[in-house]
Amino acid sequence: MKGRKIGTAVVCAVCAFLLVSAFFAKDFVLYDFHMNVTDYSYSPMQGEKPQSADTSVWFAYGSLGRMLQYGLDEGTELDSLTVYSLTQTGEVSVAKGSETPIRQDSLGHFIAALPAKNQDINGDGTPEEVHDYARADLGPNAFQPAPQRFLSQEIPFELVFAERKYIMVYYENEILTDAEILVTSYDGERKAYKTDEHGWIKGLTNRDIREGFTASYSPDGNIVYRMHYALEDYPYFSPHFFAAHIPLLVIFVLTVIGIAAVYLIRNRMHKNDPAYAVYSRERMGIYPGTLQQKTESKFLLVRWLCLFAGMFLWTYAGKLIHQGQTLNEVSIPVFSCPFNLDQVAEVPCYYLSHLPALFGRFGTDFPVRNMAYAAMFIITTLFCFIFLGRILCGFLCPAGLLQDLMDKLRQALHIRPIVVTDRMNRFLQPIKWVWIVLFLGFAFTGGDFCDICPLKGFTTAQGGYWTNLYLGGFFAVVILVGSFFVKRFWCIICPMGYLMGLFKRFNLFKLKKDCTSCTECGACYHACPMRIKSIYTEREKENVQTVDCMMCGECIHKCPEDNALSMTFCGKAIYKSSRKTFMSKFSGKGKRTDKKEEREE
Amino acid sequence: MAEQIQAGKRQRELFIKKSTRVAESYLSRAKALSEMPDAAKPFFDVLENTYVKLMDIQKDGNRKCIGTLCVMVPAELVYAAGAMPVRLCSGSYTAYSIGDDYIPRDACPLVKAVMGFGQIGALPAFDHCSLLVAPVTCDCKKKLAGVIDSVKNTVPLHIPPLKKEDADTEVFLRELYRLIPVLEKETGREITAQSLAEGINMVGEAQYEMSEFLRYRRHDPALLHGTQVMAIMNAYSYMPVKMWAGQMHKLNLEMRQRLEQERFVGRKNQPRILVTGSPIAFPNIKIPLLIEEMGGILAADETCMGERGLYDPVSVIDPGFDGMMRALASRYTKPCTCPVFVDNSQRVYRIRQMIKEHKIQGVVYHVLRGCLVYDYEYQMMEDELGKLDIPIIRVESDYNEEDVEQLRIRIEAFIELIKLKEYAKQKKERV
Repeated sequence: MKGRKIGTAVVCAVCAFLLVSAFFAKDFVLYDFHMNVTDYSYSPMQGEKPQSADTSVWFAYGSLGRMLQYGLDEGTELDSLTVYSLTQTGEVSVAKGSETPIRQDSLGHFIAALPAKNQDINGDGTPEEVHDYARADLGPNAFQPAPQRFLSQEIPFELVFAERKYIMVYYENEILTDAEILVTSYDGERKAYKTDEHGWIKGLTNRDIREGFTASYSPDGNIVYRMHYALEDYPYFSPHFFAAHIPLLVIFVLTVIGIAAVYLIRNRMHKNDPAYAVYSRERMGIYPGTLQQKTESKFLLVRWLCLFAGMFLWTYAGKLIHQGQTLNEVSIPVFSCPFNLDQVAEVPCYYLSHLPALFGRFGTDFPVRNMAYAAMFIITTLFCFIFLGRILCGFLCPAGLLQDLMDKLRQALHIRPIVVTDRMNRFLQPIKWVWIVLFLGFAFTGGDFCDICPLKGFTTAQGGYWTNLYLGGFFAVVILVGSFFVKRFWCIICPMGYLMGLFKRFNLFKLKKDCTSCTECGACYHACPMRIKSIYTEREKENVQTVDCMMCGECIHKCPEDNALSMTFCGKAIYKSSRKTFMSKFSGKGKRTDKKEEREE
Repeated sequence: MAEQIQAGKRQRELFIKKSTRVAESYLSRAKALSEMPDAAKPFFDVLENTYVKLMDIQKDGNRKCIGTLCVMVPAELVYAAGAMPVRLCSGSYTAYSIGDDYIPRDACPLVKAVMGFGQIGALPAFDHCSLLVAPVTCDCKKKLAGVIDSVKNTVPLHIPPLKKEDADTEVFLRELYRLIPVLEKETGREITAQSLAEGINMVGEAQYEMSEFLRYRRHDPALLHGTQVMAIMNAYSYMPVKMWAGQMHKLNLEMRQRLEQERFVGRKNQPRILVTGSPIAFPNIKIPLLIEEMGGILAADETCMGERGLYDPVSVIDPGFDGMMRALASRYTKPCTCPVFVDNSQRVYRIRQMIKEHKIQGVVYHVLRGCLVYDYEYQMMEDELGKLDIPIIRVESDYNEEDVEQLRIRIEAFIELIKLKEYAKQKKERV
């Protein structure tokens, strides 16, 4: 009774802490890529003019990263160039010159402007008034969802990177709708695009945005505005790429400390326990292969392969396979971070946690979202939620892989897990509810779920994207330490997973149980990472799938009864438990050692 | 004083004479059932050595013997400690009559037999056990654990009466952890993760052979007599697990041969009967013998001296020391259908499963006199089997041969009933 009271108090405290601390998330800084790093400098460019630059001025990023370079056509006076930078206090003109350190309060957005000149660029014989600009966005602030605009009188034509993947066009401080924009893409190819009613140039690839492109707009045929745009790219294995991993490293170092602390505290607690005192002595280490508990399971192999594939798809595929041509409108629910622009498809966790961004306005003057996009997003998300459900958690989620790897690491180190008993599981449920409330509702209070999201750092950092970690970074440490000791710890309290599980009734994949074959040995329950108890206590219903079930197949793998548990796809069994398979692990190998021993005798 | 010793000696001689005679007669009756497999002979030899020739247990190397009572003592743990478990639940009629003097009249005969062996000291298998691990299961076993401590060093092993909550499994886990130092002190060998893994493998191999064997046993018509299976299962108590598994492997090969040659011991429409209820410990195998001598086939058994002890495998989830201990704790309580657990409805489901798998036509519910826990569950079983239209008969017996004739008539009538029922069913189908 006393234990229960303490447990309730602890759960209440954790929930309250989660709710309150969420509002101060930005005050807990785990790692911040401040732009006031002095090693960021900008200097005249030495290299060749990029193919994408039609303008006489352009920005480029040094090969070593952290180097903003500007280039000028021959014959253009350096003195005529003005560089504007967006700082915390507003737009300022900054000094230009070699190796100039960037201002401390810079947000990382730069526009270089040349005075207007007369030049015949369309070849009709009459020279036009040409305004050349170049824009660069660098650092983590570039990925802010809200558009970072200069809206300056000096720069009437402006390209703005918004919503992590779109280019918006502003003309004379207004959104430019339904206008023809001529785009020179990264390879020098020219193509005409039209802006839509929200001022977005649709159809630009990620590669254009990263390697640079030029957009030119002519309001009346006599004046031509051109702007070269390049978002800071993160090539693999560049210093920049490695720098992006620093927060990850910090998390892992803290995790190691956390694991060691938990391990030592537990050993200390058990030292005086009459039953567990055996742990105060060394009782670890099974020689690999001694315990014959492994059975081959193609299903689990497929699951591991899918998990790795999922990690690849949501982390690197964008850059390595389809060159940034992401399936922007299709959304597949896994817990991967959309701040990594290389993900293969949209992940709904961002918009689900920022519902106002999907339908409403960002701040005061951000346009209502593209309804076609919203419709497509909702349809694909619902399709996955309803027909696939949590099988995505078990098979594709990169966060799931991370936790599974932590679990494997623990097994390799022969450290025993913390077993989540049904009582502990009950205590975890309120925490899950708090996460769901925060996940869906935090944006309405003006907060940003990403600040407290424990998984923001992982795929983003792995992909080489700089991301600042606030309170979420500390939660990440908790989640990693947790998943080291408890298999799939985050999945137990994952808000999106719960939402996905709600539609279990309509899932194409189902978990079935043949209750007459069950001996209630509880192996499935102990194997279940989600600690679903009903799977072994159920004695009547055939469908044992619960909201928490993520179809990982561990229960079927560990079930020693014929057909007691099976997974079905559209009613057809694709994986079922078998006594023969289960028992077979005890057969062959044992014989061989027997014979060896006989010979020795 | 001298007279007393003389009297004790005479009693002992008389005891040995009587008990070996009973065991021998049951063994020969079991062997006499038609077409005993050749590979089953070593099992009978073990029983003969233990109960008739009164030889010591054939040990595996220099392992010490540790006595156990119920199915809840993890054999894996005992093997991991470098010892060998010997199940001392006995069906000896003579030992029962001696134990009667030490144990209240209404207690069950099995407990009396164990106590009898403890007092007379004539069974080497019993005497060479240096320690007795006695699970606190039913009331009789509970008090036995206290009483027998005077003649044998006994460790009680607490079994939680409930098992659905994790806290209950946790209780048993702690109990197993407490058992570790006791076993280690007894054998002088440390239980390491390595040795525990080996123990699990050893017992696992026996379970594998057992699971293979069960597939042959399910066959209709039967490939061998259920009474012989009961003897084989009883022999497990007195054999090193490796030896038992090896012999079982040979038996499986023979069974496969029989299946290929279609050599059946049963006829096609022979009533297939399941025995459940109180333990059927050798030499008290009169119920299985009566069933088969009266023309039935003992197709399956749901008793703790039979299938139950070896049926459920250990499923290690986490391959560490704690993971293995947890797997043991959960394997020895959760699937166990012993009626000492408060809620034991899963026994009904288990029997339903067996009825389906073994194509059972009738159930004999064996109740030893004084075995209250099994008697409690009879009503529930009768109701459930009534729903399935499977006839059930409750037979109460004691450790003596006085009730044999009465049992014979009842079992014969029961078998006739099944035959008639089957006949009526077939007739109906034909119409």
